[in-house]
Amino acid sequence: MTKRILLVDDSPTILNLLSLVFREQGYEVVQAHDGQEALQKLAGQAVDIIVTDVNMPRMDGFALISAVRANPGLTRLPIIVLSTESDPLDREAGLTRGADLYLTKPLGPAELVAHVRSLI
Amino acid sequence: MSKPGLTQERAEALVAALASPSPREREEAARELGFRGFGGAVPALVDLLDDRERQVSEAAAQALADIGGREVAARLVPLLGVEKPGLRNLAMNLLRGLGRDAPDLLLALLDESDRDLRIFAADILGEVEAQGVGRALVRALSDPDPNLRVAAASSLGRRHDLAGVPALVKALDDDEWVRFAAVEALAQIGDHAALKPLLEALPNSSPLMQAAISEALGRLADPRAVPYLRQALSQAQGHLLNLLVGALLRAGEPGVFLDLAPDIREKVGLALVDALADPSEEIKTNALEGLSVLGDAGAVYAILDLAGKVDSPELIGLIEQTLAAIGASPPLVGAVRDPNPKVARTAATVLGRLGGPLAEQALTDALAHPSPEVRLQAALRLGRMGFSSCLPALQGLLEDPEPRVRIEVARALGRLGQPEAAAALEKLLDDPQEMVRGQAQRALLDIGGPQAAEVFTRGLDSPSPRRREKCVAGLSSLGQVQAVTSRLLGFLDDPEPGVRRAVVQALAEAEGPGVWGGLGSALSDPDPQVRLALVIALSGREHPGVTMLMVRALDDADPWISYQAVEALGRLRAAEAVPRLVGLLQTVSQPLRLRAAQALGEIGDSRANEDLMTLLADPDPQLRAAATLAMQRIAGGWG
Repeated sequence: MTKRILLVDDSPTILNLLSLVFREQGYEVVQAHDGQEALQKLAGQAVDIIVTDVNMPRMDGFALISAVRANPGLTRLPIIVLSTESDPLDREAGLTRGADLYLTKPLGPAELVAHVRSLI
Repeated sequence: MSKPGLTQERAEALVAALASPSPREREEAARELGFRGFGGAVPALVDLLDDRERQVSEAAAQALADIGGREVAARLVPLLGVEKPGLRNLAMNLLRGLGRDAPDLLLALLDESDRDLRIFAADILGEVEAQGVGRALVRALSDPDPNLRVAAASSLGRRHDLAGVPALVKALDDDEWVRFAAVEALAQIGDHAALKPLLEALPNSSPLMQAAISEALGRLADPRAVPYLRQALSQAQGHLLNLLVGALLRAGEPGVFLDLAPDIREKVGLALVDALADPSEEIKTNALEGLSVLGDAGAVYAILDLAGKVDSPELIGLIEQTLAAIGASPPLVGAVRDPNPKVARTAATVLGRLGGPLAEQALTDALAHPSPEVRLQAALRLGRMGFSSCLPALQGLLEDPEPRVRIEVARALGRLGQPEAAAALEKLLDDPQEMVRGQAQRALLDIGGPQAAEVFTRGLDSPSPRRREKCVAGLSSLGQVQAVTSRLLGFLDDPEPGVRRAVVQALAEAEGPGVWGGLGSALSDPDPQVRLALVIALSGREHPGVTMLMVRALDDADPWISYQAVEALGRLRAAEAVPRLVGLLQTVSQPLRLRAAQALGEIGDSRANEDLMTLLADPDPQLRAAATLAMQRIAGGWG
């Protein structure tokens, strides 16, 4: 069965790139441009994994993780943070809120897909 | 600068309220300060961006955007370095709008040692219209950090910065993420100078980059890309293949698929089928045109599936054209029974165009479809195709509950022209819908011959006035009135005006004992529509009896009937009507006076001159002109 991945990034370029990467691998892609839109998409459809940026308008990636984990139905939904922030404090902030992985950009497409596969 | 109406006292109170324990008060104070553009509140409003209540921080952000200016921008820049992403993002968003007030502050950030600050600045500058920004972003494409180079490339794309094209082309040799951002940016800028480098990069890139370049080439829609895209098709698979086909459809005519090798044609066909599910109507349209060219019967089911989902008449028309171009009847035969009426209707339409025995049987089956739209379409197509074997099935639909179906069935039976259908059509002459009765009558006329005449003659005895009316008119159209003249004369007293109207129209063409007497009595019919029908019917006939009846019609209570009679008398050049027409020159109806003057001119009888002369003093210039013209015609000066 086709896996559905929710990609959250305010940069259309990155969102487009990630979409190409995962569509090429046979994933069904759902896009959101910030945390708030991601929560709306999650309310409307089930996804198998979230890959989110941190710095986004309206609702950032950390707030998104907190909101997702506060939902009892989504406590086990895998979340990968994909950020340009390599600061250990940011990494810790992401993982503390409930992210399963914290990856920094740029990351090779094959490596990214491998991380996703390891979680679903 | 603040708007008038804000006293110092009020301003101080509002700034104080920004520190109120009540979130509501903080929010409202921020809103008012923003509305009034009070610059003195900027420091406090910037602090409020970090308020724990979201509505308050959003109100502060809005107030800062409303106040604007360099000071606001300057106070926001340091927030880009804080650890809180929420606060950082608010500052970034505000700076995107306010950056033009302080571009130097943002440009300076590109030289910061903190890479995050450089990335944020490059990102924000994509929205900042100011001198030097483009150059700075181009320079940033050489930054050692790839994330910054990605941000700079994206910002150049968003700015549609033509000056950035050479640097972006150079970035096509960079790391994959940067390369991707450069491709996207080049597509956004849309400069065709990017075409050659993109095309050159296409064959030697990874599948992911090929996909990105294909998308970009699709957006550029340049026909020069066609040979390169076609070349790339041979190795492409999956999503990349779809993107290449999409780019080809945008860049070239559907004919680009014509001479592909068989294995690539097959792949392209599948990609075009995938493109039918694209949300863009343009892509769907192009895919249909491509499938038309390929003529792949395997695509028929997907096209029919699309037909079941769309409502646009243009797209439906194109779907039908495509299916007809593919010309595969067997899948359509099954589809006419599809429960989705849109699918079944499309299949019926296309089968009707394709013709052949398969189509005949399938369309006959479709006459039993639960949807009237499908039954109607099947009847229409069967009639046009001229398949007489479907006659029993069509006749079975003459009692269809949907009037449009009955109309179409009657039309089809008329087109088929089979005499045995005449009797079946007879019952439709009683149909409650006038349009159905009219179509049944026309169908009987199309069939013609003794069978139709029999139906109409039999109908004269019908208790139904609707049928009597249609049958009288039908006999008239068949030229069969003479045989039933005496019976028709009896109908001049029919209680239904519609029947009497049809009778006078029929008798106006007839000869025989009692005809003129009967028509004369019809001039006294209580229904003006009957009298009018008679006058109009007679006006085209040249017969001594006509003049007499027209002169009588001049006295009709309805001035429109009199007017028609005047016209007819003029056309007939009826000299015996001159005294009565002269009399009408003095009537109260201006149009009637005008028409009488013209008729007198047409008749050309000099007895009218004296009375026409009196009209030359009439206040109506039109009447004076008509009188002058009439006299000239009488004198032989005008034709």
